[in-house]
Amino acid sequence: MSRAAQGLRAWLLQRFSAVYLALYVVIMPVLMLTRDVSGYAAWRGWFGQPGTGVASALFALALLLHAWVGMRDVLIDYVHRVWLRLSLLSLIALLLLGSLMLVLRALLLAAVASGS
Amino acid sequence: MKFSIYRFDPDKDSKAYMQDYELDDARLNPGMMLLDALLLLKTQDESLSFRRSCQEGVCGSDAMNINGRNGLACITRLSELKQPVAIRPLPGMPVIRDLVVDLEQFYRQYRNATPYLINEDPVPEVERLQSPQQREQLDGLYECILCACCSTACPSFWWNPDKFLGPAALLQSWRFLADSRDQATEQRLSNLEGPFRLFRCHTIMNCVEVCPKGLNPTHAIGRIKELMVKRSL
Repeated sequence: MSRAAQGLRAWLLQRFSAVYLALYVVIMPVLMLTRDVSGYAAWRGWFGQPGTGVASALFALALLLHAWVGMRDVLIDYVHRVWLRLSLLSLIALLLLGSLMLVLRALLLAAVASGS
Repeated sequence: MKFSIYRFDPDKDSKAYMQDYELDDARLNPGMMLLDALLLLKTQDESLSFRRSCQEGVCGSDAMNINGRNGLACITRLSELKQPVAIRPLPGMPVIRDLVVDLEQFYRQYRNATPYLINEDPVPEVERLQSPQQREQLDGLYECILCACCSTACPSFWWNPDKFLGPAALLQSWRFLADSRDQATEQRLSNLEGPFRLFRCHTIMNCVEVCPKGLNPTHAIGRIKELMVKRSL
């Protein structure tokens, strides 16, 4: 990321991901109420559908970006030793990327299971 | 009336401390300002140090932390203050002595905002004219007296005073970005890029809360971001 993009782009990313996160956490529970998702099979079936799957994958990605900018902000504010900040940033990046992979894996498995 | 005032004399004290003062109620009038009381206290203890000048909220010299809130002593009514009145120097700034702080960092950030008109056109014979609507854009911006109440109430400025411009300087940044006569918009905006100079602002709004002139730096910062978005997308 170029130096010129560090401020504005991060800030915009946080705003737009926030909008998507807000929409998702409102719409998903409402949709959940309109159908029967009790039980593991029904739940997995629902998340295996393309619409739900893609929306949820986007949610995980938006959450990752949002959390990344937020955590970066916290560390820039409070952690002033460069090497410590760098280590913590790397740790957070690994955790966030790992979590994203797990979510995507679960969604893919659900998609495969519902397709078979 | 009871006061508790922050004292520190670098020649004598190894640590700052709070000193209690009492002012005879007979010496107080209704409508008296905190600065009047401080001046009376100084006649009791002339070692007590603070800055003041105009005494009417125009020069911005006597900014201090009054009962936990930044403000100008000269326009803060004694009758509105809970006792004992705790008076401390502006938070986060190096203390020179008692209530006098070193504002070097604050002024450096002010300079970073290039707080002057940049216009490369030949100087006209008359003034550079503005329409009333263009002039209106500067209302709520030019009134800043640089008392430092806002910037020293801003947590982002406490954590990164050397990198974050702070609300006062950013208000001035917008004051010149919003000026129809200024031609350095691009230069000003690129000067504010990066994660620090502008974007340490997390809309905490302490600046708006404490500004003794009722100005709104958070709004100005929002306008800068808006202009950046318009210019870069």
